[in-house]
Amino acid sequence: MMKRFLLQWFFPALLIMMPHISVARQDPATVQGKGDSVLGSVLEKDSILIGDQVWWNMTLPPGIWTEGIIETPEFPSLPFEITRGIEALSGVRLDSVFRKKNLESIRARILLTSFDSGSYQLPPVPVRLLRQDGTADTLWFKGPLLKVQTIPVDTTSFEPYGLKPQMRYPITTGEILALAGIVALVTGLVFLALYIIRRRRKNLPLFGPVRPKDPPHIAALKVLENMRRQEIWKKQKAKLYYTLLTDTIRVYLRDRWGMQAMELTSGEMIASLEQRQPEDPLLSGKIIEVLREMLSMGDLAKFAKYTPSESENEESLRQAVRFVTETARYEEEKEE
Amino acid sequence: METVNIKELNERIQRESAFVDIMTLEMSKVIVGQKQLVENLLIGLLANGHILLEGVPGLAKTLAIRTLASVVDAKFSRIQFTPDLLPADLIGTLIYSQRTEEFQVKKGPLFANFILADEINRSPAKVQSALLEAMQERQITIGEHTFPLPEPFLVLATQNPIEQEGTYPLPEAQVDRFMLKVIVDYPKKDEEKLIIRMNNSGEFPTAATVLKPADIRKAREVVREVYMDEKIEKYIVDLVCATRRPEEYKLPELKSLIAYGSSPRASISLAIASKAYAFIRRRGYVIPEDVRAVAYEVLRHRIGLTYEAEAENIVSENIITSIINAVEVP
Repeated sequence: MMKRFLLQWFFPALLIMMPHISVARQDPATVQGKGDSVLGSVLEKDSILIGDQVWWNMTLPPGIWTEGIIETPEFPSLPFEITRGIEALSGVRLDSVFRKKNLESIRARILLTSFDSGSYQLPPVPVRLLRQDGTADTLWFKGPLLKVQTIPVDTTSFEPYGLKPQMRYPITTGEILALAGIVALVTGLVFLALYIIRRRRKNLPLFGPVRPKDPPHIAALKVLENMRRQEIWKKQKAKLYYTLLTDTIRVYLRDRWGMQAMELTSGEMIASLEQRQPEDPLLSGKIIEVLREMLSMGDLAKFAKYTPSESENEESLRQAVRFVTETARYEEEKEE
Repeated sequence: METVNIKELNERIQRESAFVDIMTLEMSKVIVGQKQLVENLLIGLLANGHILLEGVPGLAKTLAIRTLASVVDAKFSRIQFTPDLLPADLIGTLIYSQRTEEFQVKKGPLFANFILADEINRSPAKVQSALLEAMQERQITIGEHTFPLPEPFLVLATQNPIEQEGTYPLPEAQVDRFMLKVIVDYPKKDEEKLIIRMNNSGEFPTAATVLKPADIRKAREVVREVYMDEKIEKYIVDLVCATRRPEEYKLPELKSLIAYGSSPRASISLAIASKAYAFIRRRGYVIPEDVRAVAYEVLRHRIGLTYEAEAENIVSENIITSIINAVEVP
């Protein structure tokens, strides 16, 4: 019955009332004791490294809490240097220890730490017991020895280390593939550009098989033959007919002698051919005269609204064919 | 479709242009060499366009126009432009007559068929304007009276390409009123020898009067009838447009060299001058050669060059050559 009372009412009330009890402890009128007792206490570890923390456990013997109210000391502020070199990181905490649902003991704990190496004798801690009959008693927990160790540094064999290099991030397969793709793409583009430039320089089509370009006289004769077959002059299109005829001759002159014939007038074309006459045996005075006649007729038809007769049209075509055929002979021999 | 009887047209041109050879022959009696100058004087005369002559002194500019006037039986005036010249010195003025107690019109030297405005850039702008206005309007107003100028009326203005100090360069708008700008060059060696001989002998041949002003008017009408095909018109437009937008004619390098291109007046002048050239060549129709033959004289003073072009010593003739070589001939 007594144990039940303690567990349900008295001990919780004790925990709640601890601060008030500590105030009451300072009241000299209530401090009356029969005699002080010295109790043992233990550290969870008797040796710690600098900066480590350790619990200091103080266990009240069984039966004592039934005698009255337990009053623990209070530290003014935390952390509190409990003795020189040892700091308390917590106040005195009371804790109950049960075994098989039965309260076995009450434990007081203080969390300690130290930042100086050495052996320290912890001071005794008083716990007041206020009995129900109005008397008080002080229980002293004897301070154990705490050894604070430091990390040994061998200064004789100490060698300073240089800065660590930056850690290399491992290259992934994805990265390698992306890089390889970019390199392949750039290489492909470079080759494509070189291919296009080469084809352009050679005046070849970009894609497809290379068709050999007709020699100037073949190309001209093809056009003239086409005109002969179509008989454009019969369609009342004399101007168009002579424009095509003179343009064909201009293209031939351009490709055959490299003349800028598209931008030359009829007179300038004849003058240019006459200049080349001494170097080119195929350019006889007679053949130049043939071309002059054809170009003059062309000028009349194109610029003078002149409508040549059918025989004149046919004669102009014959003259053009004759000029091309006679001046192209040298090229044919050269090709053979 | 209207067809032109080319034979008939050519025969007519042969008939009407017969005076060209006689005129050239008479002029060549007095003027040694300078065939291009004489030919351009004829073009100006036939195309009814004024001419700006540029050349150093002593190249027979004055003699050429004086001879032209004597060949045509026309009145000739020579005006030496000086800084103190006044517009009234050109066009004339009103003079108070004490006898009639009225103002009488005293006509100036502009009332002539052929005017030689010597060193036109030596006079200030107001005098230049008076002349150029008369050139454009072909009439002069003195006081309240307006007088038409005689036909033919041809102004030949000269400019000295050197000694530009103290001159008043003609503004572009006024230069544009000259149909042709002819550069007069030095005579050839043989021609110069002949000039020396003529001067040493002291016998200066004179040109006979072979033409009347009415003949010129008639010839001008025939010149206007010379057929110009639309292909030639397109070629002329292409040439003129190439001075404005050279990049459209595959000449992007000229874009930075041309400050401004030729005006539509250039197209008109190029067309009529080409017709006159075809007439001189006894042809009733214009061919691309005719256009190219007068292109330099018509276009050279109508192309404005940039500072960049001037820095590179590029002249308008270089621009015209590039354009002629790039524009496709029909």
